[in-house]
Amino acid sequence: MQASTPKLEHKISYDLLKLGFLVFLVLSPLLPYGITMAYNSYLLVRTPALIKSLSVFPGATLDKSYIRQDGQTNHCLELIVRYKSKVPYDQEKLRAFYTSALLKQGWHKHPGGFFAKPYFSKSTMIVDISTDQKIIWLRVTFLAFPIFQPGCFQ
Amino acid sequence: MKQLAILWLDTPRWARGVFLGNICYIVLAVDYFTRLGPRQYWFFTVWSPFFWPTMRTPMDSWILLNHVAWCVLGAICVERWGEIKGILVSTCLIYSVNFALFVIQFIRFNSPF
Repeated sequence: MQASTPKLEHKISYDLLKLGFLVFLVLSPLLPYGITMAYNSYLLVRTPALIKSLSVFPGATLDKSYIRQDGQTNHCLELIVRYKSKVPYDQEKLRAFYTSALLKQGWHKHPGGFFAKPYFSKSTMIVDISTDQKIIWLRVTFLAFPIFQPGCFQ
Repeated sequence: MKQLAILWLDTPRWARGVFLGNICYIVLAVDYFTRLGPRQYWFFTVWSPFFWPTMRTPMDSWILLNHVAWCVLGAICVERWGEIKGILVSTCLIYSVNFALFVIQFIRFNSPF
């Protein structure tokens, strides 16, 4: 009787392990999607630091900012910012400032950025500018985790 | 490692098929990742079946359907024929359907691009 108890315990733990492994195998197709969600959440967590670094453009105030998922492909995260300035903007300077701020923040080091780095200058888009050039909307696009997703720069 | 092998052989074959189908999908889904940047891996472009019918426009729902199909077919085929033959058959089916769509698209638009 005493000898059979450890055997029974061993069998139960093995059965549990087997069940766990079965559940893992069956649910494994969800892994890429889970990783994607987790990674995109991580990007969102890092966004406040990015916005802070973007808010120091000389002579301008960062008026509004929000992040959203790209409406067209749903595979990119778009950071939308609005600047206000007392003097007209030098658009190229602003674009260059954005790119360098992104690089300083290390955004190019994230897995998507490994591929996206050459696109930073392209991804910083001036989407709208007021006629007096004092209010400007910018859009910065980031890759969402792309394990199963097509790109957003096509 | 030996224990893992025992565990693997002790689980139902269909569950192993789901897992293997998923792995096949993930490996080839890397194609889309590599298409994003300057590092274009031609072997993925050539060998990824999702790429063919989606050359004109990215079709996310089609890629998602491929993922589901690969897992379901993996389960059915591995249950029926075992790991190696089962995964080969399911892969052939996935490729065939995608290739057929590629041909249809080619005929319809006179070019896949």
